[in-house]
Amino acid sequence: MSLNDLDGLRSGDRFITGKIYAEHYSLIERMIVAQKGDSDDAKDIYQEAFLIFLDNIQNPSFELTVKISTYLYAIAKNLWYKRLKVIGQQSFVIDDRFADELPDVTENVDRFLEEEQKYDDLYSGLNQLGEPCKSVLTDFFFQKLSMEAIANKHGYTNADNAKTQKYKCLMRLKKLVAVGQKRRNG
Amino acid sequence: MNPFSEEMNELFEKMASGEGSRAERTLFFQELESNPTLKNLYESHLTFRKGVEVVTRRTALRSEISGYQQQLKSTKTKSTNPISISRWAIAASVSALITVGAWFGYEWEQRQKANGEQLLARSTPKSRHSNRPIRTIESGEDVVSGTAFAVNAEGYFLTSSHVIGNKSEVELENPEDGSIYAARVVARDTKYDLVLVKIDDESFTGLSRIPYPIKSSKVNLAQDVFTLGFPKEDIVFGEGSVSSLNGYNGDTLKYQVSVPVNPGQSGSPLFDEQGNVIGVISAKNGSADGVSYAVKSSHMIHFFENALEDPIQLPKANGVSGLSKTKKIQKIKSFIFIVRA
Repeated sequence: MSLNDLDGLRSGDRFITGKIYAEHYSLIERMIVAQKGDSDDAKDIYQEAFLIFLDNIQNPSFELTVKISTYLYAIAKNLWYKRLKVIGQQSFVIDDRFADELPDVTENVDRFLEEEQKYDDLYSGLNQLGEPCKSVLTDFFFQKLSMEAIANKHGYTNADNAKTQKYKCLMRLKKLVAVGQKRRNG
Repeated sequence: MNPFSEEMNELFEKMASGEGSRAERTLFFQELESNPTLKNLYESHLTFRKGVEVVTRRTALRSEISGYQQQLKSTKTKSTNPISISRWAIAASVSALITVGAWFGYEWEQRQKANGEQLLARSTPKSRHSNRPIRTIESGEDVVSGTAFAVNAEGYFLTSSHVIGNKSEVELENPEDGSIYAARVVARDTKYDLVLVKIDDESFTGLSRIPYPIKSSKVNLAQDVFTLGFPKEDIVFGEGSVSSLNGYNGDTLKYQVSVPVNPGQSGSPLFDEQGNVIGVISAKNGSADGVSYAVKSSHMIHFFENALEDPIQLPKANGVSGLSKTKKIQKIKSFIFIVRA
């Protein structure tokens, strides 16, 4: 792992992230196929593990203390064991070459999965929101684009108009989330 | 009064992102302490905001990862976990958010092989000026050439990042007088396939006023466009129209244009009829004739806003809009150089 790789991952560089994604896939696939899974399971788990990895690494307070491959392996293994448990299968270890150096990622993974549950209404709200709201909110909250850049990208005449649009989108999302909560609570 | 007006939302946003003057912030947080209703509103806004941040981030990352997975092997994904199925399906449906197709860096070579989107850098064994020392290029390596166009009279030129790769020094040639200048990379963004270089050479005395502004407003389907670039050592004019508002595989970073382009034209400016820059030629479709792709000017502006530590002045006024086509091109072509890396 080079320093450049980590910087690239943190800044969301597609070239570097894609390269790293491709580099570690077969390692995870081998582990899962060796433990009652098939290559579809491997893809599934690897995507989820990679998401948790990116989600963590873009958090400035997160420090990666092991190699990227080791970390991905630990996350994927945790996810896969959880999956096996759900379908009533026992996990067993074959050729667990990282066994000694695997970091404990339980807390990491559990927090991620809890948040996924907690934000269920937001996920479906965002999905119902449609375009351009979904992109506007993503550009603002995730990409951290300026209102100026958002105005340019989405063809609003100026930053103030983009701001108003963002406000309307947020309000619609709030409403959708409230409706979802109400539906679930009775 | 609306309990959650746009003004209040803006104020909350400002406070939540740590902006505003110290006095403003002190006042706000004092008010918060004495007004429990406001405090509740603010706190629930913070919780909501945090959630939106997490969910937009994860949705965008899912979409990005789906792209990497598709590139890895194009196979169907089945899932044994229903939650996971739906979220990844959402990610696939919003892939336009974080355009999967825009991620061409990693797959350039594969794509070229697959005859999908071909990039347009041109390889030449060496510079034609073999009698002159090429300052920035080590001998023995193949030279890649493309087109660069001026965006600031002090010697800033824009071109495609894939022409330059990871080099930090390039050379620019002004084909009108044959002068060659050393230039260095100032900013690069592989996602947008853009790189800004600056001439760093004592012999360079600056340019006259650049006559083409970069247009950020909307581009229309079927609008007439033209480009000027260097697929060979002489400048080549090409024209056509905007044939699709998205690029290869729904790539929202680019337009599709029906302008014939060839290797060496990467980095060429794409102009509308008035002579405003509306894009940068980046690639062509390898399996269909006359299908080319240009990075949208809105992304150029975004690039200038985000990739530069010190902002540069971009050309603002159009100095050619009233001229005939030939006069326009006569005037514009002095600002278009050959770039070699």
